[in-house]
Amino acid sequence: MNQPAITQRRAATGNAVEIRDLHVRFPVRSGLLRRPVGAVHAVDGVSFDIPEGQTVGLVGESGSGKTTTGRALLGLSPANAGAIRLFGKPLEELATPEKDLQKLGQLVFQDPYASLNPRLTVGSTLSETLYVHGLSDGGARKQKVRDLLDQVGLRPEIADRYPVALSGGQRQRIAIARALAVNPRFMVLDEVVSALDVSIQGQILNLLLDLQREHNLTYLFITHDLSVVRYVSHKVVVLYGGQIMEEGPTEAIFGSPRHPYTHTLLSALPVPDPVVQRAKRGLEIRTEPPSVTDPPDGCRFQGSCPFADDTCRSVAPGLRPAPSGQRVACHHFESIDIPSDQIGITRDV
Amino acid sequence: MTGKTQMTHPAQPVEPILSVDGLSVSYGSARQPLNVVKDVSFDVAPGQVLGIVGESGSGKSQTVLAVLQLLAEGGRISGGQVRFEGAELQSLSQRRMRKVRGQGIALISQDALSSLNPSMKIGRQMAEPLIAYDGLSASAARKRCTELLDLVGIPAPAHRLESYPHELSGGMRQRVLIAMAISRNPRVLIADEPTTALDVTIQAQIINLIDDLRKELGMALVLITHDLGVVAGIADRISVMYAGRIVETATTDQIFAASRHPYTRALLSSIPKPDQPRGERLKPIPGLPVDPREDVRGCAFNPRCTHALASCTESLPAMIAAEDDGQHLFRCPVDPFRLAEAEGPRARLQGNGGMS
Repeated sequence: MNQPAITQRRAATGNAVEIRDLHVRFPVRSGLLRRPVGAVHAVDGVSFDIPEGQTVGLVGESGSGKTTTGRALLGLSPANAGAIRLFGKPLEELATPEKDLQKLGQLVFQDPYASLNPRLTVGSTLSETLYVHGLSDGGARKQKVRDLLDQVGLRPEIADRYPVALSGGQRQRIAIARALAVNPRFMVLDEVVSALDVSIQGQILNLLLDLQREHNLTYLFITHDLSVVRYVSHKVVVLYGGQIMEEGPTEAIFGSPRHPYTHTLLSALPVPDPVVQRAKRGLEIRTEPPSVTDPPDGCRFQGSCPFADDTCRSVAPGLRPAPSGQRVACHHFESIDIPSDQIGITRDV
Repeated sequence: MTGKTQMTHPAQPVEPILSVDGLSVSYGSARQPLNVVKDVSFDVAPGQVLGIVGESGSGKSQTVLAVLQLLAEGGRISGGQVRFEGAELQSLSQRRMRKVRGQGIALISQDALSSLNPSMKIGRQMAEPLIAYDGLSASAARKRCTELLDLVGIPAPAHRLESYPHELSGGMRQRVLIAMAISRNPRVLIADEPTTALDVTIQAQIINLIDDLRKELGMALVLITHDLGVVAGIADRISVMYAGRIVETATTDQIFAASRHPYTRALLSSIPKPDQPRGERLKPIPGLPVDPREDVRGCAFNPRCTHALASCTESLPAMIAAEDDGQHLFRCPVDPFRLAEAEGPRARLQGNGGMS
């Protein structure tokens, strides 16, 4: 695929984030001298954009490269190749001083139990972040802490508590408040509701949507949970083995998924409906993640795909547009026809 | 009607294989106990699947540990009893209880990685109980382990016996745990959040595997989860727990189509639907999950309940039956029509869309 010269497009595209042909590899070392003997291809040629003020849902299973992609966007995983631009500027330019990049983009992690310092009160945690980013006046900091807590729907008294005294949902609110402290324009949200109870997940997702509207925030929403992603995302990118299998408007991905892997993901999703779940009971779901150190020739999904043929085993499919509006990396998506009421592609394999 | 054929017919109840009656579990001193399980009762018939659904702190895992007499230091059964095949488990000797644990009731726990010994090969860990308790020879145990790994769908099983746990993926480790759990032909399999840490495709495979094995080996299954979607397809009955108590228990179809407890209903409507349009606000349950250290007067859900009556804050609502057959029980005095009215047009009410 031709690489469009993103330098020419500047910020006029309205894209907050532009990624082109991103590659991230981690060396595999072995032996006494820890010599590199190979590499894990965590992200292998990923390109997508996030328009300002919108959310892209980055979906994939463990080892798909979704977290590495998110970290690379904030300069936390060095890219081996490819270009990243945030708000029109190349990442390399933004990365020094580090604080400038932090002011632009913030990361919120999955585990609110591990991401807060247990020895600091909530107030100190937030205050410290504000101090590091140049708010030296103590009184102003106190006021700002109160504002931040208010923004994430917490009462000011929480400032005096330690993380241990808070519920998972409250902790995740604090983690979000800490990210908001620098007034970022872009946030990478990595599995932010996965560790929370279902009844609480909705509170956090509603909060994130409110904050997005209020501050015109741009989100990369990383998750393995398709049901959540549909609700928050304007666009969905499906990753598998470090590559994009399918990407496009949320309605297209969920309404008429075209890639066999997207079908597999959707059919594996447990739905709170006994009739649907029982009907899916006969489906056989197989996924055998491809080797990350020695990825196969051709399509990454070939090992688990019931439609794979010789072409799939030799030629890597590029992303091609589908009539329903998304782009699909599959040689055969036009000829694969799965009734929409039967989203289990591995039946009768 | 797509319901399960093996579902217990209400008119002729089958003798339960596992029966929990009024079970309470407490930690700490007798004067200031922390009650984590309160008056929990359920029956499981042979071959039946019971789903126990609850969020963190609801007491679902403590219930399981109490059933197996495996409560942590400081925990005790402070009331009620557990019967397996008619025998009261609290009165059994350690020796007999050990026998029940492998051959009667087996447990698959949540965290496959920490349930396996990291420094012991899979084969040896699997063979140990077979040699120690069932008196198998080393070679017979090995043969049995190979069969078991094959049964749970692990490719090249003989080869895998030589692997260490860290060499296996999360899904494979969970399969090994399942193989170990069924190795001594238990009559009841208890799976405590068996798929929580796994990817969604692996999760579906593991749940299907557990249910296939149940049918094949004629076991009863108690599946503990926080995810109503996970139990929807395989459970015959579901008990919903909140703050240490079962607040509603019914057939799976009744729970999804005609639930009567506001917590069950709120839980169902807080789950993002697969067809949820983007931006349409989710309906989370307001407030915080219950803290077991707090003793809420009356119904424990009342601080978060949008339907709570004055009486709900005063005394614990009694368990009432929705119909005469006693299949559908719930602890809530709120009028069902009031429930549905307050929840708007999307609400489900008994009789509307019910399948049974």
